[in-house]
Amino acid sequence: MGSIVRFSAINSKVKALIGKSMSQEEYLKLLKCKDFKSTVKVLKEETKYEKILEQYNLEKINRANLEIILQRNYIRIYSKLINYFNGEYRNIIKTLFLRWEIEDLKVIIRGKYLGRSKVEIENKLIARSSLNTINYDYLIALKNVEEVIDGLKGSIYYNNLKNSVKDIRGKGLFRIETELDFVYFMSIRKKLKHLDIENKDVGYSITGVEVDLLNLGWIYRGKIFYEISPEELFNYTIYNGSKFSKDKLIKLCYVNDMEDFRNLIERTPYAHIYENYDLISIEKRQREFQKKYYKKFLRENRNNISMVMSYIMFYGIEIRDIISILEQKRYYIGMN
Amino acid sequence: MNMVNLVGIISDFDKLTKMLAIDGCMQPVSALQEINSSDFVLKTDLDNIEELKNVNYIKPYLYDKDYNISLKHLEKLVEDLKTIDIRGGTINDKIFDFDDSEKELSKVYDKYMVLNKNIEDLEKKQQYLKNTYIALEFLKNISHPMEEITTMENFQMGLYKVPDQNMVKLKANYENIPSIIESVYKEKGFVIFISYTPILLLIEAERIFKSANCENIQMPKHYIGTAKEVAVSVHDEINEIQQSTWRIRIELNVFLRENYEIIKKIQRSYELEQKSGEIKKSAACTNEFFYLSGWIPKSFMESFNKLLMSFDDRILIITKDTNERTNKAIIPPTMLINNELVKPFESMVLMYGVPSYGEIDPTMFLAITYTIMFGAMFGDVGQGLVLVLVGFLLKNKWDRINLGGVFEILGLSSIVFGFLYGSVFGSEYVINALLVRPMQHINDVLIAAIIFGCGFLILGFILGIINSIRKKDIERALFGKEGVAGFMFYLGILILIVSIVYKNPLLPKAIWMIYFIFFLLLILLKKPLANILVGKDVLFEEGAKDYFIESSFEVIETLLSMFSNTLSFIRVGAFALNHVGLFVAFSAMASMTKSGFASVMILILGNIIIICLEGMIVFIQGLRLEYYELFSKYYEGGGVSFEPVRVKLRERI
Repeated sequence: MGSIVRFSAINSKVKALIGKSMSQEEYLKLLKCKDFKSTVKVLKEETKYEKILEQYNLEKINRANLEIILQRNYIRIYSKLINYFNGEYRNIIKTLFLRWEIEDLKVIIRGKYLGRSKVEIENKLIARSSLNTINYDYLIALKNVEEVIDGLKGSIYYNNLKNSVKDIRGKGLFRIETELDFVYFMSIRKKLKHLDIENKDVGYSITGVEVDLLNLGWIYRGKIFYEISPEELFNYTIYNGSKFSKDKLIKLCYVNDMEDFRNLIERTPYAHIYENYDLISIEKRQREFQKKYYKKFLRENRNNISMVMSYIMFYGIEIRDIISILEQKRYYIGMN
Repeated sequence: MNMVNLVGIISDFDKLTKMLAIDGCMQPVSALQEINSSDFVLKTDLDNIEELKNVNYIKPYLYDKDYNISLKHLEKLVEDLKTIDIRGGTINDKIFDFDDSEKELSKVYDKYMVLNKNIEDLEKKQQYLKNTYIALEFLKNISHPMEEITTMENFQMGLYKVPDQNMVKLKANYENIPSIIESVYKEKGFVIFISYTPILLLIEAERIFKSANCENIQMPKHYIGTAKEVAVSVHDEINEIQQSTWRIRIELNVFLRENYEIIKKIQRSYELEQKSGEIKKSAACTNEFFYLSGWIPKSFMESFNKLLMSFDDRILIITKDTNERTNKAIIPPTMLINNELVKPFESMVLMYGVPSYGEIDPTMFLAITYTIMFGAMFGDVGQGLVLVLVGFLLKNKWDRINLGGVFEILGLSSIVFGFLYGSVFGSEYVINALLVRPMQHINDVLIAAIIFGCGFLILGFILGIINSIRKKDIERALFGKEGVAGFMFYLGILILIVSIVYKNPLLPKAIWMIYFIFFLLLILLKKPLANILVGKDVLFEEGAKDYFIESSFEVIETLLSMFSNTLSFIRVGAFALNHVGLFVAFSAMASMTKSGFASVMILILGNIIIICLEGMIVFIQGLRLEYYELFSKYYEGGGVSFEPVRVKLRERI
């Protein structure tokens, strides 16, 4: 099938969806609000989220609930996008969805680890949909983390998790959560292999940038906060990034101080993100970088998978931005 | 369709919902919504006093049984049942009590799990020994006994299994890992390696291995001898384990066979629980009573009443016909009743829409007209026979009952018309035409098609008028373009054309003019006229000017659409010609080739193309005539279908 036939419908749909995303003015309006309640009110009455929020009583809503509502709406839109694809491309969109299923799986595992109730866990789940590869009801009904991991037998997650389960009593869920992220990137890479060269390349570079950013964030936090040994740091990095070879990653893991870290990434597009070491502004600059990166694809409107992949990421960032604004209002943080 | 409201003691609720699910006669609706209307009214007498008192404490019924884990266990059992082959007999048994089914399931599942766990453990052990064997193979040239290697003083030998992509990382960072690593075996997805680590650095090395998700395979310490000797005994052990696995597998198989019926019975019971849960979720209750509402078709009432008899008058029933109901917010669903022959065509009607409750079910009309039209367009004895065969296969082999049924009937129609046209697999030399050869009487065929079309349209008009009267829509029934006014106008035109063709004027021109203008005026003024008839005060609801602009366009549209709708049927004749034409093209190609084999192949290929391509076009064109030309006259399809909650009755094995 020609790429025009395959992508023109989804690209038009994506364009229509972009039209519904938040504009600069709308962000400013939200930022100018005085407190949490008025921000939610503006979000409900003056932005494109009106329709989604109209059925909720916002008087009683808190930040966490709102986040779940926005995320679930995101998943609802996502589940519809799958209908524009068939064959290998459908598989790609399904595999990209694993990211949210994995987030839910983390919620379930964490919930079981902390002994949360069934309802508490269910209220936090966002990705229940026809695209699921796991049986939510069954996993939620199980008693503890060990049972949940055992209940994943037959799913794509089991092999990676079965060794980590022994460590949770001593070391917590860190390894399980990292392994789940590995599963996601491994699966994406496997599926991308089956596409034609153009789509494969663009798919690799979009996921590659994501991997790079995750790796940098991981190494940075590992060095500054957790003091993890370089060998372990390296083992927990995700491979197949876009700008960093294995050797460069090793070098990054073995830097002595953050000055070396900055020097090593100086010539990459990510240098700007780490120009100072304040964690919040790093996150902010990272999101700006990502938005700019995905916007480029969205503007180019090429007849390949880039448009839909970028949109999926772009919309995810929009929700995080809104949540950040709401958090700022909720916890009275300054505007800058 | 009746709305049935039931009130009873809560202890009967589970049994009742389960019996309803087995009977499959009720489509439940929200009982609270029904209670809020005035249709769910209990008589105020002494017998009902308790129920009436309880109405004050009414709340939605909370169905909170959680059996997701049981379902998963059941799924495992049923999945395993597929591996054994059992035939004969039917299973109809169910356990009514939920707790009993839970008990029964856990009894079977526990036994199953013991066997299954044994197999899993053995397989795990076997895999583990296989990995050890691989490592020993690697060490086979070392003449030192294994016990010396595994108990070295300053070094520890380790055996690890690691995902292949993590092995790449270990290799890349080899210089920083305090171990000697040697990979001994590679398979898709993982690598096995042996490591030698100084005891002093063991903790650090293990931390690194763990972070790379390495699985530690303990080297067996109880074997004595060189690697080669140990390998032999490990190999023997692997064989032994394999045999034990087989033995337990056979045991498991026997267990499943013995418990086949009981597992199936449990499966049915859970299905029943789920379905009864669906009914329960729509109900309301108090601490003592339940309130349940739902639609039951009149033809099911008898079996429903019989079902209630087992409750000895403990359940109160209020039955109301759709006409007696005041709450119009709950739309009555429609159940289509058609005989076996016509039933497959229901799927074609449902593609357009479900008939509203009270609307004429157009399936019969569609089945007859569509069958005739298809046959007329695709008349061929041989190709028709192929369609019948395809239909038979679809129905019996591939379980596509509706599509298969439609194909069979269309194929038969095609055969009948094939005899009338004298066509077998496109050839017109095999049999004589009983009626006409389309290509030789082109005009007659086209005119006949239009005449048939007129007949169909007239029937469509009549059905439309009946539907409008049933819906008490006077405006549409009398003055609409699909109503009496439009119908009389259309008849007038037909009669006029016939009289002109036969040069036998029935009425003077002036009278015809008055006749047509009169009916067009009726269509133009349909709203005010209807309002007068009904006795409404307002003639035009949205202003006279707007009304007349809109309405005059409608009159023009009426004229155009009557003309185009009628002419549209010409396609039936055109496709009859086209059918012959296509074959003529293929037979010309066949006669041009010199080889007899090639010409036969071309004819076969031609027939296949004609059946697939033209068959599909004719199928679609016929559907278009039905949906666009005929359904627009008489059918709205704005209903909801009747979907009772029902469990699969019985399963054949």
